[in-house]
Amino acid sequence: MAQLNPRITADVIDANEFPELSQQFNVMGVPKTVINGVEELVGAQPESRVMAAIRAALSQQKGTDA
Amino acid sequence: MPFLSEADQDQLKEIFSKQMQRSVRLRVLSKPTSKLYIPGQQPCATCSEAEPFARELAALTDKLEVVVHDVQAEPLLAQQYGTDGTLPIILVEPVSEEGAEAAASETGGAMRFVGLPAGYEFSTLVADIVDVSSGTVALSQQTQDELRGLDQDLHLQVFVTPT
Repeated sequence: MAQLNPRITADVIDANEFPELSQQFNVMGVPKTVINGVEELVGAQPESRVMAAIRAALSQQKGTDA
Repeated sequence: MPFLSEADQDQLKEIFSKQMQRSVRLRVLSKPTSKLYIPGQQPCATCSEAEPFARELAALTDKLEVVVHDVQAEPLLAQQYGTDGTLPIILVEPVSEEGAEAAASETGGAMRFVGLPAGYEFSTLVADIVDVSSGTVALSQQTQDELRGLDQDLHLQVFVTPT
């Protein structure tokens, strides 16, 4: 995804090396994906679910920007 | 001692020579290891390994180049990539044809690894190098179009454990 658009940044985080970050997002299972710090997905999810979560995260942000 | 065994090196050479197209830059952001203990300042755990690790990979193909930055000497860069120097950062970036700074709009963004991508994450690093090099994207056309058209920042954080 990060290859498609420079506005997209993707981080792969070792949950064990970053216990504080893992705790902040309450990581109980891996892989866990956090989108803009607001939407969360646990496990491998189909593309449509990931995109739905991305849309939800972006619209939440638009809401707070306005 | 090298990080990769001879057998692994041979396998990687084959993967890189068969699957890489464009050149890829590994940008290493690290902090030199200090022999001096400075109170309140965290030493960087794997910084001293990051550069030789990247260089060892780059030695396996002529399509990989390595650029190393000292985050203490370049605080702006450290800020841009969100590091305080306690862990090395390795960026996997496409290199444009001219050899100049890649225009992100045409070649895409970079992958960032925080900490040394050894162990389980190593296969992800190799896969990312190949994907950035070949421009391979495993997403449907519809998803790709939607993401290309994004006008907001999107930050994905994927938590994994090396098992």
